[in-house]
Amino acid sequence: MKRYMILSFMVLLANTSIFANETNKSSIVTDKIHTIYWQDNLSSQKSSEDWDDAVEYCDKLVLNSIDKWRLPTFNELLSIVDYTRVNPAINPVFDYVHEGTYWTSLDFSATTSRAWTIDFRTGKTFYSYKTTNHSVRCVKDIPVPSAKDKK
Amino acid sequence: MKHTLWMLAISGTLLMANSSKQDDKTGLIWQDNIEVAENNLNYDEAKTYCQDLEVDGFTDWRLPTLREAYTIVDLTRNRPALKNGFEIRDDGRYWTSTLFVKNPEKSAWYISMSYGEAEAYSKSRIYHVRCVRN
Repeated sequence: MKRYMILSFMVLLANTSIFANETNKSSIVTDKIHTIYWQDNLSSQKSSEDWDDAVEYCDKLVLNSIDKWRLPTFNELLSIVDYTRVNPAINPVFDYVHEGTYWTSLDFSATTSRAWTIDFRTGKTFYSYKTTNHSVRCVKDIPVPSAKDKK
Repeated sequence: MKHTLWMLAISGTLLMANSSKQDDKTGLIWQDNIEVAENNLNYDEAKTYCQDLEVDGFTDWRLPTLREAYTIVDLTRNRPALKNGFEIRDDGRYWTSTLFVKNPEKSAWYISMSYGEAEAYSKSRIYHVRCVRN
């Protein structure tokens, strides 16, 4: 019983921080709410791609031996906006931030020639032409350990 | 509340809380009567309006935060970019309570229910209001 309680306490501790910038994986931020990894390296600050290239860039990205990344959904990207900050208006867990506009994976409802973006100078959301160049911060779904892996 | 129920009893019609809608996902209850479409208010007026509002017998209404407002947005639709389930579906801009930290005295965030975009603008601008309660 005692051991169980100690274990529960450790699990509780592990869950208190939503975002963790793991020191051994410093170019990756772990998001426990959406169970995704966020890219956070120099490229997530310096990148400038049109939407099609942004999609391809994430697909080909390999970070700490993790491959097959994707563009964040609108809600995923919105979740890292911090509306109590400006320049940049982003959760301070992220180190590599461009004070500018980032792509999401979501097509604009009125025309697929545009897709949704978020401007991290303020947190403004907008539908931008896909031919425009914007910054890219890829995400990767954290693999759920299968029963096989647990053995 | 008692008063409202008494009035309803007199009218002889059983009215469920039909001037507001609860979102099952967030638990938030949203104003959903004709005033949502008719009201055009600046930010300060919008705040006061929600504080003074009485709908379905409840008086604890407030302006939604920008994040709360986004929970009823459906970006796969437009004009309005609003989830199913609401009676009043006017598009255009709606005030949120979220202040623009760069200039909180003068600016706050609106969300457009036309396409779902959000931007900080002068509090003097006249927009729609959909109040919320927990």
